[in-house]
Amino acid sequence: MSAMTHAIRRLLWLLVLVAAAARAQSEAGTFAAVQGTVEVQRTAGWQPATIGMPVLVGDQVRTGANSRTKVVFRDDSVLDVAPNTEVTLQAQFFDESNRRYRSLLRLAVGKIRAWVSEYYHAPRARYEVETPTAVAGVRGTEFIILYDPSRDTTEVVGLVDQVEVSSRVGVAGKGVMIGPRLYTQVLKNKEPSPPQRVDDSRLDHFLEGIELVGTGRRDGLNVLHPAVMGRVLAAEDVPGGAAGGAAPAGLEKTAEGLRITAPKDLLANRLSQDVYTNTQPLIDFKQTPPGNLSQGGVKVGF
Amino acid sequence: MGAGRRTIVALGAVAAALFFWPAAPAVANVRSQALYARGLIPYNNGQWEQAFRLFNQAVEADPTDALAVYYRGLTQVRRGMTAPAIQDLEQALKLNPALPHAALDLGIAYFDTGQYAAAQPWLERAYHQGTERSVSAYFLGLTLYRLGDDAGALTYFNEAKADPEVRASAEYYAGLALSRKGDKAAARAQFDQVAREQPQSEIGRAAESTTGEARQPPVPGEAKKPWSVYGALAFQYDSNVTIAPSNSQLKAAQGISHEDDGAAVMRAGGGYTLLDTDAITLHASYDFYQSVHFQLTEFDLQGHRVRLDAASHAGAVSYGIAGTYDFYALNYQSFFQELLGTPWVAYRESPDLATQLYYTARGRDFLRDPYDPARDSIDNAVGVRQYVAVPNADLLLTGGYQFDAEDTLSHGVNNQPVICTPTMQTSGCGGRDFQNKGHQFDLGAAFPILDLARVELAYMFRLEDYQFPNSRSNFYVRRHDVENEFALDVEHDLTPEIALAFDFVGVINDSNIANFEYDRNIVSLGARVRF
Repeated sequence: MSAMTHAIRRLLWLLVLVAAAARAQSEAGTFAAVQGTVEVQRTAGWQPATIGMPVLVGDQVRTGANSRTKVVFRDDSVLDVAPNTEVTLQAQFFDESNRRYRSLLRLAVGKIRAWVSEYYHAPRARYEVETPTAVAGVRGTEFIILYDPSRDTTEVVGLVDQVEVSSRVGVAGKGVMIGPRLYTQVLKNKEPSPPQRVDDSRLDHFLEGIELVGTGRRDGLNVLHPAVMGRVLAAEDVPGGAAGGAAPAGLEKTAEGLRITAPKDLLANRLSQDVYTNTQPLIDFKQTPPGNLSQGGVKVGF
Repeated sequence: MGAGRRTIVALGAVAAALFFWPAAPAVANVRSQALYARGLIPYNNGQWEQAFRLFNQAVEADPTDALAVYYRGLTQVRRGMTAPAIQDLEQALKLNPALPHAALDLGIAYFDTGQYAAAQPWLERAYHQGTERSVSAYFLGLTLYRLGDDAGALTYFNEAKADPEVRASAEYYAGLALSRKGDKAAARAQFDQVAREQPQSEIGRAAESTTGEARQPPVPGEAKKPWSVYGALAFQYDSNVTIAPSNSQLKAAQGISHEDDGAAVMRAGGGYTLLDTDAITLHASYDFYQSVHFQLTEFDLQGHRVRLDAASHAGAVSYGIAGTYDFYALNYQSFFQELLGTPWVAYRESPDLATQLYYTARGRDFLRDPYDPARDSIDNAVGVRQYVAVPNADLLLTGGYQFDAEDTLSHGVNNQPVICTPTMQTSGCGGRDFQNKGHQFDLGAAFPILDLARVELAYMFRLEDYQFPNSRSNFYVRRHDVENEFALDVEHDLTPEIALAFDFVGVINDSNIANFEYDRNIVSLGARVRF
């Protein structure tokens, strides 16, 4: 082989490595929700995760006590990360044109719930979560996996569809398939336990702490509501009632809104009863001698 | 294809269906979850339209996804679409009754739309769930305050004060509730506290502006005090006291040399609330009016009005009846008396919008020649009024339409009351000249001009269609009048009890019979006192 061939080969390997490095740093997902202390380790070390922050291949994510996060990936998969968890996105390939999809996550400690998208129904697609003792592979769609280093044990609960769980003892280790509400555990250097059904209380135990509603921040309507921002909510809400604002007849503006009363006279009639009693041709009265009262009439006044 | 192969294919299809069918809703659920998660990012950034689009797609992907429905509802509120937001929040709570915070949000959404009775149970639920308990307590206090339950409101405001986030607002509204309860010292202490804590906020400035004794804010469904009295004195110029026709020849023929004059006008009166319970309000009032002209004293008018109002309400519907007795004297001699009865019903579509229907029966009895008995009449009127408070602008608008029919009663030759009929002639029915049907439209507006004055404007357009050929046209034509009426009232407070007032009333009456065509303008300046 010539020196030129060696040089070309070395150059090609270099390009492959550069491409791999570039791919490793490509954006695979986004933090959609963050609650408490959530950090991500990148080249600059650990830094706080924020909503909208990208998740790159190779990122290591960890949560503190009472802290959670939710990541949505470009392949439409979603990952819920429970408190006191450390998980790394080891690899992700998302090639729609060739229908090649692969995700590999490594759970070092803690608990995650994976919502696996329909892309992984494709042939050869693979979504895997590995722990020090087990590998869980799924074709879709939802499961919980937790790893407890103190017991060196991995536990997997299927929520929707099938999950294949195998031991990391040898590549050809014996695996088990678990369906919805089935559970298996994998001790160190052991094969997965036979699937067992989990009852509601056990399922709640697995779900505990993983549920994150909304962004993890205060999303409710009370946030930035005028009522909590030192605003006066209505014109009437001032000592002494509404400032100004004469109400037309038949109407009162109160703290609870408009309050209707009996219809009153029109403004012109209220301002001038000379207008209200308009009985044209009034001049007829001038031509009628005073005191010419008909039956029932009375003389009044000064 | 053989039977065996068909069986295999069919079994395969069933197997495939069984395999894929359960996956379908789950796939939708994952898709919904992804869209919901994506929607959280613009939601967090306040990009409501983008967030709404994603949450909406999430709900379309899985209508049973309570979180997606809930967040679509929250986003709808931010977009100002409150009605669909309330639907979403209710639906989310149906899908997941334990959804944290949703009850509080639904209560707040109802509160924001003025549906306080609907807000109360959701806020109570949020409060008992412990969802942001002090915030729930605060909104519950606000709701009870709006509903007029000051004692209940104070309980929750006092609890909410423990939370620094809502402490000042809770203190402020506690001050309003205390003030309305009559505990002015405690109210003032609350306002002082708010003014110290948040001097730059709206509530801080409002609290700071409270000088002297904390005045009492209005109570929903309740009068501030049972009695009120007022008096007014004004000087006015009236361009047409005699209501002389515009036609100068006719005016001369009627011996009218001048028709304008100045006058002093006095008013006085008062009211007393006889009964004020949750079920009914009963209010009585008396009003006195006297105009004293400088020259045309034959037209001095004196009026006495006694009025009784009964009203009640059921939710957004209020209803009542008003009865009025009027007595008028012209040139200090009895002129006419009348009795009016007005049953009415109103529906409040929203805190800022209401519609009212009414009927008025009026019997008018002239007591003096030349109108007695010819113009004695019964008038029946039906009307509809719309009331609008323009949000965020201290502006109140009204508009109305009224149809009325005036039937003149006439004392016939045998001194017996007669109702005019088309076949009768004037010999037996002198009031036929005045029997008419009217269509009346009016618009009104009331608003303050800064802190300087309160203004009320009104315009009325009226068509009068008289039913019989008129004697002033030798019975050739029926009279048709078109009346335009303008009114303005400007009031400037000198003290809380005393105000200066400027009024204008303009009338332009067009008629197909010249005798009835006239203009009239009245301007007035005076002072009003009320307690």
